[in-house]
Amino acid sequence: MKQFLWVMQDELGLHARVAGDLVKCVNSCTSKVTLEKGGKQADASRLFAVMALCVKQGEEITVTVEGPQEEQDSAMLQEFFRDNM
Amino acid sequence: MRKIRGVATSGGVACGLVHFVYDPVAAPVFCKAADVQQELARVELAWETAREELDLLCGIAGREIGGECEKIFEIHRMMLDDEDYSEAVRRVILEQGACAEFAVRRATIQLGAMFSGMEDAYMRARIADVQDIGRRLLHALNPALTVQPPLPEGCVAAAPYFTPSQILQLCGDGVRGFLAQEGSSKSHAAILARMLDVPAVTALGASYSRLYDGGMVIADGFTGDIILDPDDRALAAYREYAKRPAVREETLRQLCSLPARTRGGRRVGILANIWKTSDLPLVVSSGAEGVGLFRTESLFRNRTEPPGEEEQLRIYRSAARQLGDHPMTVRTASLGAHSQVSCIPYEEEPNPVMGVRGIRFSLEHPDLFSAQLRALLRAAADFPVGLTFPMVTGVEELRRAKELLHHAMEELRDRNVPFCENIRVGVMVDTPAAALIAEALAREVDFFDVGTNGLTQFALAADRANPALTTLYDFHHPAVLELVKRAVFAAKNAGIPAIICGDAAADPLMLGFFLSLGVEALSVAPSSVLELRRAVRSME
Repeated sequence: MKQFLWVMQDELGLHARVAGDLVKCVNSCTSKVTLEKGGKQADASRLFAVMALCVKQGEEITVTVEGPQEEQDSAMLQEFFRDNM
Repeated sequence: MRKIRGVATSGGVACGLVHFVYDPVAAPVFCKAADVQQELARVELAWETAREELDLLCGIAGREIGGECEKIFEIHRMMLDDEDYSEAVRRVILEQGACAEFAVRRATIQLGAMFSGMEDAYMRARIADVQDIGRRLLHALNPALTVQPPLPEGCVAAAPYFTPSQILQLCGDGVRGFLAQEGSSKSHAAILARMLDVPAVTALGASYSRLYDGGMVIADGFTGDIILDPDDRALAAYREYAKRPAVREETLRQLCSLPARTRGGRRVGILANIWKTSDLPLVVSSGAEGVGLFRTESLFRNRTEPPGEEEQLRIYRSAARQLGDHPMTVRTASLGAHSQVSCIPYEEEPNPVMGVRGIRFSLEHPDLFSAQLRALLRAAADFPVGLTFPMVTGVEELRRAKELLHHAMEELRDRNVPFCENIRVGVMVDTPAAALIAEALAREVDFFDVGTNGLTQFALAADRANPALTTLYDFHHPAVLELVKRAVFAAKNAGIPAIICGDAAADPLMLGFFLSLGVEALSVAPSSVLELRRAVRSME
């Protein structure tokens, strides 16, 4: 299991477009990816679930990556987060 | 006269009569399923249809309006694919034994409620996206449920909130402004209204109930102020405002009024393509010298019955009137599986792009085709209207189309209705076959429209809608240029004009090539007219 923390940078928070791109990115890897904010969890491959977390600018989320390829998936996701969120 | 205030959402001032928009998702009525398995299968099918529609819409939105707009419908596509949604619908069917319509409404309202409970205004605005998908599914299940009676052109539409698809459709119908009880400037609908340059005021809250159907309003999308039942002074002030061109338009107009002439003094006609009549103000303000291609499929969309002769006549007349003395060329509707117009039954096809579309579909449906021809013949009696046939691959097809045109004339003559006997008749050279037999086709018509999109797609065997082929789909390819050259030379030899249409026409890098062939006119999107004029004026 790989885990990393991320503080939302985008001023609109985790808005629809970014959430959509994130879901696409998650679906392109084989690991199971979970987001967690303030005790609430969301399956990162589900758009509605991700949006329901309602992550705003400055809020912290924990990203958990699990699976046989978690090493490289986690690296790819971190890059995605750096570029988009 | 009264004043209310909402949130300024899309700039501009709209004046017109209020008309309420019907909301098909609201208030679901429970209805028991006769056969649960059958309802589950219907839901499956509706999902498939909605998916296909959204894929199509993404493409159209991207091409016609711009990247951001395409993203909006791409997100709809992803929401649709989210299993949480389809599972919720299936659960309602299985647990309550409900029909598919009720289940979709119920699940849509529940998902929407998830967003409406959020404190963040941006997230709350997503509720309209969920509703939009719900409507799409309902429409797929039962088109009669979601039919919006057409709003009168020039009215101001009012609704609890608007969905992105509604904005697209209503702008196409000629609605002048939007008033919403809820919503925000951050909704996708708001983004679209701004892109389409239509004023909108949202978040009217309790004041929304002051609006009434048929009441006159002046809505200021810059300030959020709305005047109900304006008095003469307010109306006079509005008319004054409407006359005063904005600063941005003023600078554009300076370029508009300069002729499209090369430095060497050669005149090049620049016309505009349109998809719907609401594009016409853009055409006029761009200074285009008419409409080179009016694609009429949009007249058949979002309705249960195809438009008849009289309705089409009204549309063509009102469009031509807006263009003044400038000509308007109407492409006869290219229907069938390729354009997926729901009011006309069509056969599913393995490859609709190369299937029964364009003139092929028209010749198989002579009643539909003739209604459009009669409307065009009648409009041409008073205005410089011409017509052109798409996807012609043989002289025989063209002759059959012209035969139907003559039949239509006889019918009108029998009915004693005025029409234009020598209407301008053209043909789209949009297939390699048409380009290769251009000399024979040229003897049959008054002009050519060289459709470079079709030529590129078919010459290179590269579906333009397939993103994997974008590098192959290239109108600079020598094979495409050769076909264009053949078409233009055949037209020149026959003494008829050839107008270049499609994406290549707007490419400044292609302009030199077209001018070297002796092309005299190009037809491009209204937003490309000024750019192209600038390019022409910089050519030797």
